[in-house]
Amino acid sequence: MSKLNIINHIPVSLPEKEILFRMKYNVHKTEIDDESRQMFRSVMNRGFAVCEPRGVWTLLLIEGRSENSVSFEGGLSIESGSIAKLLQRSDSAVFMGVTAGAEISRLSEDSIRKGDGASALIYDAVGSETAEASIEWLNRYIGSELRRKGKILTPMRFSAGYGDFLLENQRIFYELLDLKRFGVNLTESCIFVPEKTVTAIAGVEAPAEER
Amino acid sequence: MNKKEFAELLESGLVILDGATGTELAKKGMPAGVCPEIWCIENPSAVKELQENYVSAGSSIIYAPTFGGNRCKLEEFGLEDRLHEINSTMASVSKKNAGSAYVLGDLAPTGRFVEPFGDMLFEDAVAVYREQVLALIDGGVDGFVIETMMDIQESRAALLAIKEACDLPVMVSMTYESSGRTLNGTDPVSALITLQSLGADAVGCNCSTGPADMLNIIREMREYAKVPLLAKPNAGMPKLKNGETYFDMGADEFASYADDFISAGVNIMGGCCGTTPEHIEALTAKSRGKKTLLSFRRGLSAVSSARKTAFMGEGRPLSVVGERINPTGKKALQAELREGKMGIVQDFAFEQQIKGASILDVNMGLSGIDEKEMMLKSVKLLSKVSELPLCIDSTNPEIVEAALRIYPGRALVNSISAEKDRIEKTLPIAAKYGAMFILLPLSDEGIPQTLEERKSIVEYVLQEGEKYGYTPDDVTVDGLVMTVSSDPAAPARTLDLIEWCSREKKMNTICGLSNVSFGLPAREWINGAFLAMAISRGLAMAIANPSSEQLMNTAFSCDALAGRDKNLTSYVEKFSGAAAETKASVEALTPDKLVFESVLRGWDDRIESSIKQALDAGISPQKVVDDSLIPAITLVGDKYDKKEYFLPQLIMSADTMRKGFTILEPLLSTGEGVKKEGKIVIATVKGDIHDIGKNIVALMLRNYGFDVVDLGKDVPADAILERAVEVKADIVALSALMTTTMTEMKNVINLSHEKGLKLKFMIGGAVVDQNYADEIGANGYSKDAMDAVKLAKTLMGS
Repeated sequence: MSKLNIINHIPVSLPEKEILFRMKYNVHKTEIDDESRQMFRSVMNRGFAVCEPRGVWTLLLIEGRSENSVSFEGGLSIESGSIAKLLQRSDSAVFMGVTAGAEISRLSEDSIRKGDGASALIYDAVGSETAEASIEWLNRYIGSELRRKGKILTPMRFSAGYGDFLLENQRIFYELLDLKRFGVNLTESCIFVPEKTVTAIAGVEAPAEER
Repeated sequence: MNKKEFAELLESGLVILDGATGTELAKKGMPAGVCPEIWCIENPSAVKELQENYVSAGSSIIYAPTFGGNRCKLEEFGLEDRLHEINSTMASVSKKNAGSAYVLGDLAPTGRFVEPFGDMLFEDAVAVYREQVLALIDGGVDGFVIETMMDIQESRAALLAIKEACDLPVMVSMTYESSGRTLNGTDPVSALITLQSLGADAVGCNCSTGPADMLNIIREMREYAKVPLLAKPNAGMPKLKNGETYFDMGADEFASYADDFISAGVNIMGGCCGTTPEHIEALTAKSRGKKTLLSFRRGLSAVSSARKTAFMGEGRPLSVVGERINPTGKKALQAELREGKMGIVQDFAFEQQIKGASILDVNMGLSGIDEKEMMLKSVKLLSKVSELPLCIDSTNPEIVEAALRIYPGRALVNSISAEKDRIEKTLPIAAKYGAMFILLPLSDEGIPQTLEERKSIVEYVLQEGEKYGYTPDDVTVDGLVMTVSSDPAAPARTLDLIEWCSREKKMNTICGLSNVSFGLPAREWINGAFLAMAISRGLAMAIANPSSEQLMNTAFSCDALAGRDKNLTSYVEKFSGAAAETKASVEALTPDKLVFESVLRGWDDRIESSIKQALDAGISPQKVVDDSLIPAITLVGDKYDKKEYFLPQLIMSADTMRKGFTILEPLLSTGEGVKKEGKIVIATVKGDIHDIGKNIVALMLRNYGFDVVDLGKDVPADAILERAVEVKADIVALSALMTTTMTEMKNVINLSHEKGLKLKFMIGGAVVDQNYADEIGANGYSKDAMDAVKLAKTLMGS
């Protein structure tokens, strides 16, 4: 197993478009007056300022595979046909995880308690989209690192909880990436706390001429 | 190669670099996954053939294959002990292969993240590069290239390492994504300004994009370039086929961009991934005999952060340097700084950015704290949380140096005067890091009383600055604002100096506005009037509190009148937007329309007063409900359905309506208050802790008149049903966000049936739909909060 690569600050910008889209903003139809626009933007900025996007990734060699499972160095195994398909041409896989931190969720909860649903919703969207932007950044960063080593990352990455890649696999990410270091906990039902935490797996492949 | 020879080379026309190394060495047998540098050491003939081919193709500069020759990268292969051997050998081998061409030592990313964006100490990064630089110098390189960089701070570390080790020419080349920024978010102009100020001899871009996209990056930078520009594009855009990356642009097509690059202002060009000696040969042929643009700016009135540039002067609107991050007179900030906390600093940064500051002044001068430590802490924090460039405000040269060294951009230094200590210590420090500075026209003799004395100090400091390469564009003169209450002639002297600097010397000027009104009542009026007078005399910048509406409005107005606001765009945007119209129209509304408008626009802070106005005007409470509140919220629902409103607007309006009902309820003639729509118990099911959706639905149901009992998240089935029975609920609303927890919804419904309860169930959440609702026997599914209100009303039969 390669070392854990820790990034204590992922330099993402405020994903404003994605946040608005998440809240059903329609660029062609939604009408917002300047005062409200300024208020929404102010809440978004305030929320983004408390996000602490951090990430970690590592690389595991693939040691065996079948149609519905992949085994990795260190005795780790994932039972999933979709992961087996994703990694069908990979010699190793990248496990990655990011969190936007706990403070943004706390802000959202505080707003709900105060009866300010609009701010709560915006903070929640800021946290979710910042985490998404962070995992996307990490994916692109790892891709650029691998390209220099003559490898490429699979165009797709998978997260636990989709299809047959069951949510229980979050335990693998949690332990492997030592997400505790970022103050992340995993509930019995395999949900991360703080909830603005995202993990994913992608394959590492050799370019065509190397295969 | 010394810098003079580098300049001479540029005069000969487009300087041709080499093409790709990695992809070409792979063709010569280098396997994927090996350390390329050690493979080169072990396969010198492959390197020789490639480099000779590039020189034959026309390259007058080639790169030594030392891209991954830094300690961090070599450690990945356990080769750190051979760092000196690898770098010096590759340098000397490349020199032999290059013949008459020059060889640049190649520095590239470490793969680590440097503070303030990462956890690698900045000085550790400098040390990593210094070690490689010294080895490459031992191997005889002619200069350096820092390439494929995505982190401006890491680029600065490498550049400083070179500058502190030798005087050889250095080119710095960043790599930009299709978004036009580096992966870490730096735009080309900010990178250019930061790197050329820090001493790069050429700046540009390589990799990530093909020629077409890279042209745009060069065009963006050219206007602000003080140094030659370089481009090393890939052979087209990388393409994916069956998950594989490849480049497909042929040599002739690649070379066909040469004229465009020359016109755009490129002086140095080569190729990156996918390019070959054939590409370089075609490029050489295409550009032979063609001259490049060799006129560059001497100075530049601009400062940068890692993500943004702030330009000033040259007819631009007033630049406001936010003054708030300064503990003087701010007890709460003082207390926080004494505890080593940064919360208020962050809040001030955020607030000033929102209010329109272009630059943030940072002053940590406070007795009882370690000024240097707190300045560094502030600079690191602000570099991460704010995109605004910083102004380092300290009288201590050591603190200025520490801040400039760590700051990932081109900063403004506040300030340098003619005092001996400032000229001898602070000025060379500012110059080393390429900072702009505020020229304070005072000397060791104190503050000059006459305009002529101030002018001569300005001239003296400019002359001293020129010795370090400063031009008037790199300096902004402080008008030295003194208090009018103690010296009535003081403002006139300042205004005269501003006019002389801006009209005769063509220099930027800056003022700390608040001094002028010190000791007077209603200081805002004096400050505003003085700002207007100063702008009319040419003031380009002000150190001020951008939260002062009067000052900022004055600035907008003066910029419009002084011809600095092209087509009055900023003025019109600020003052004639929907907000201004709304305020004006609100004043003209009848009371009932005002209630309607308050709900429609979600003005929860105005609903109480508008209802009071309506009642005072003799409108009955029932009529306010029937003719204002209900029609308004109905229209809000329609607008949401048509996507004219998005979720936060819907929630704000519903929230405002609920407040209105709360005020009116005791006044309604029925004496029974507002009839409740029904009672709903709502919960996120067991195992699931996601509750924002559930919370919003609960809020909306309440706002639409339902009595809602919110049980929270991760609630077991029996607890939900027990409470539903206890409160005599009409409906149970269940939420789940995960495929693994949605099954718990079924358990709740099944348990209800087992207990023989007559409850209606509605469900919602990202992973469920109407089909799932049907499957588990729920009475309905809602896709969002508004839909939940409609569904609840349907289930209640209303």
